[in-house]
Amino acid sequence: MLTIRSDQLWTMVRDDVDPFRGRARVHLREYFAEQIHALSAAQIDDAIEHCVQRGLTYGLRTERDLLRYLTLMFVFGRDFDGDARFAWAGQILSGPGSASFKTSRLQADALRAQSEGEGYLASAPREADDAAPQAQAR
Amino acid sequence: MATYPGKIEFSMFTGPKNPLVDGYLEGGSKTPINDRKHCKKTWGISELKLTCEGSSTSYEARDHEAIAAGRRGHFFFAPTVDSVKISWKLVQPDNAETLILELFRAGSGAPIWQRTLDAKAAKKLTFKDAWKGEFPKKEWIDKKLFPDGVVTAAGSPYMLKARAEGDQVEDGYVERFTYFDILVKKIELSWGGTDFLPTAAHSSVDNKFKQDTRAHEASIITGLTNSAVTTQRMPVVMPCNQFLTSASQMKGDYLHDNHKKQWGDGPRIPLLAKISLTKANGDAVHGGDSAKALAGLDIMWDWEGEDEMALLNTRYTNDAVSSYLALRRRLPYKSNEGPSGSTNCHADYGGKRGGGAVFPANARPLPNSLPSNKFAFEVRACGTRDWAALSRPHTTGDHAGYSGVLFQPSRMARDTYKVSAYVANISGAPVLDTQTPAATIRTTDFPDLPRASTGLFDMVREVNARYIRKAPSVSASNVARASQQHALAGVKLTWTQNEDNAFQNNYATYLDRIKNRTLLDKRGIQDAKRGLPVPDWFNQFEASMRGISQAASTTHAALTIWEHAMFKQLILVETIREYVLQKNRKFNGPRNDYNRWRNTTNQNADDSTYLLSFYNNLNDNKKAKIDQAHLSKMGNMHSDTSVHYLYKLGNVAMHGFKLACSQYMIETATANNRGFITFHVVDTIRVKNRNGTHTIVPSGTGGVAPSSETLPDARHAMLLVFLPDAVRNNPNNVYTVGAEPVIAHEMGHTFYLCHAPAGRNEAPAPGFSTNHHDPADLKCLMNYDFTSDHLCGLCNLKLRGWSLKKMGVL
Repeated sequence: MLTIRSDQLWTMVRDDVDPFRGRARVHLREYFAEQIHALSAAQIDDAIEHCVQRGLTYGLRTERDLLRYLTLMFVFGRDFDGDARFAWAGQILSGPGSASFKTSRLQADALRAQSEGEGYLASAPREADDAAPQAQAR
Repeated sequence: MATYPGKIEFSMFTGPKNPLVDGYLEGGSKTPINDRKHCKKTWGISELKLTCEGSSTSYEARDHEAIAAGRRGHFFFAPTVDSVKISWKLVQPDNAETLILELFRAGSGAPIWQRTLDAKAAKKLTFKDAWKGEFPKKEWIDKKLFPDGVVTAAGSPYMLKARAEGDQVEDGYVERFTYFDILVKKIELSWGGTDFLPTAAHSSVDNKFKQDTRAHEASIITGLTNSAVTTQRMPVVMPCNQFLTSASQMKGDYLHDNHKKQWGDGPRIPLLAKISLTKANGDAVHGGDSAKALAGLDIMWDWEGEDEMALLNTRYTNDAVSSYLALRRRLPYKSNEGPSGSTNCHADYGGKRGGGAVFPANARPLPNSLPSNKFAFEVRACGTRDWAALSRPHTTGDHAGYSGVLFQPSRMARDTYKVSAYVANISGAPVLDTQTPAATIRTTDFPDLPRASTGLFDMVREVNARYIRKAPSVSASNVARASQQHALAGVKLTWTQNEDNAFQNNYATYLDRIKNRTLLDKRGIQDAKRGLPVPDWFNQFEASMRGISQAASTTHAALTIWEHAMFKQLILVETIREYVLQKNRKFNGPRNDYNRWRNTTNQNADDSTYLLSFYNNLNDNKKAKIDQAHLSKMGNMHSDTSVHYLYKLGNVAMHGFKLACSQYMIETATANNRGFITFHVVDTIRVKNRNGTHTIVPSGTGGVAPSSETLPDARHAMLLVFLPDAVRNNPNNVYTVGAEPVIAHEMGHTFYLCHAPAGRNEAPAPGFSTNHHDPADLKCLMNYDFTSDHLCGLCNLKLRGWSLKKMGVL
């Protein structure tokens, strides 16, 4: 049986993702302008790539489903799907049902918990450029 | 004009952009990121409807024509009562993927409830069970506004939306939506009764009065509940038995201050609103589980007052009073504050128009158990309509389906209140929290908004009064007529007139106490120091009546006294007797003779004849000794003429009568008969002539209101009237008025009113004040002009309870 790992799948679709990346940036700028302003282009790209990578593992393939996943990342944090505080999210994403069924079900719980979300920035990885000089200084 | 229910359109269910609402619908569902070819199998939603009695309309275009206001075209039902079928139709149902059902309330763009149906559930095209407006609590997104998991009237109207989700949804069949209302059918007002009255008095009441005032509030409430809440005019009668204890209190703001101490922010009257919902068939339903649909519903409590300006000419026949109240702008003071048209006492003058809560806020609704020290319903002040308040109904428990307020009108007499309760929101928005006049709300702006009104509450200060005649021959005065001017000022005199006999039976005893110096003080304790104000008066008092029966029933005068010549003779006989009976004298013949005469056959005889004869037979030297002693005993009355004698004895009699009356008041005073007593006697003195005939001496005093006799609690006072009810045709009359205006005048004093200025040709009343009366009105009852027939404008306001100090007239 042929098994395709998520990183292999990501490689396969990378070229097709580019148009989505553009729309995702627009989406982020429209709904999360403040957070986007604090991120570099590389960090934004990283966030989108993380979204696609994690989304694919849950079977999310349509632009809408992935944008929803991205939205949830920017409301609840980069790795909300594994965050114990938002266990409902991981359970729905890992549970049965189609991709649209999962993301739709996520909406009600997300709205209920919206005020608890700390946003993306708190969990965003630091940029490599910032980290390097500190390492050299040691 | 806005109609209830309001119009419905899609835009009512939108709100600020939310990434989890608006952002959540972005991105093509048919745009696979790997650009897979789209499947030909499509599906979608074509209709969403609600059915109960009638059906709702399914919409696909967000810019559809608005559903007009009013019930026509609206789908409505009563949650927990009516059974509603939710149904939908799908295009190509076999291809269905995910169907989202969302509920939106008016005024919010985020769904309040959501359920995600998988393909299997979506294909069933309806729910298994009929819907009663309830969903499991865990499915609700907005749990704050919908704590019971039931759609409510407060959130109405609602939009139920069905949204097709998946990557095969056909354009044009992505969403359908429909609308429904939860409507209040009617509001009915009722009395809350004493169960809803907090067990403790209001904090604004002075500690001295707390217990009484709480009890009086209960009496007021009980009294009101004998009538329907819609009764056209309902007096709110506040017992106000407080009286001046010193004449100096007439010149100050004592009435206002004491009235405030007793009634604080006003009496509290619990009012309830019974709220019914509209069923799908148009009928009303109230209480039970349906009350859950009242969660969060605001009921606005509003008040209006009479415009007294319009009533002045009929209420006050005297132009001076109308003029003072109107032209000097006392009533319309700051007329732009408070409900339009109300001339209730402004907050600046101690009232509640323009400030002060008529419906006090109550933060914490209580459990069902009553009575309690907290009011049972949540109440909060309106933001813009600052005289009104909003209350919330209970959704469960004993009072489910009811809301209420602790109506607390001002303590000012003649203030009026008509209370109305309205549904405060239309289409989820507060529409009544404005300064719009109530009449405009009812007739023009929101004519069919569910509402109810009470009749007119009319604030009244009540003073209890007892009327006692000294003798049956005292023609009863018309005390109701004597009270008319005070009634115009909002003071209701409640008279009782059944104590004549009790007073008359004890009258002679009270006079004896004066003679014996055994009077009771104001605490009811015998006090030898209490008595007539001048030492000499004791002798005169005793001697002038010696041997005359003072049984109350014998005369309508306070005292019957001897004529002057007889009075002098009595003193002379007394002096002779003392001379005859003196001990330690060389010769005891006269004493022995007298005792022999007295002890043999004349024990009970009048000894004056014997003694005068004895005196006449004395030599000049001995006579002179007796004359000297007599002179000394008569004091300054020896040289009086008969006229002077009568004048002085009139004074003595007036004081004696006052003391006798005060004894009665002291002995009978209880917490249940607070008030003042009017003791009515026609004359101060009736003169008994030596020949047995009687002469009436017209009274030199019309009446007195002796503040010194007011009991220490200031709740029992008295006034005395010394005039016949009808003016006698007697040229010697000092007074050309009967008792009625004098009673009215003395009552005024008892209520802290001082003497008023009079015309240039009238005798000025002692201590009159132009500050405490309308100086332009010289016909105030409180002066000494017998033609004065009304209380001036300022007296009227003072008696209502207004603060003269705050009005700036002091």
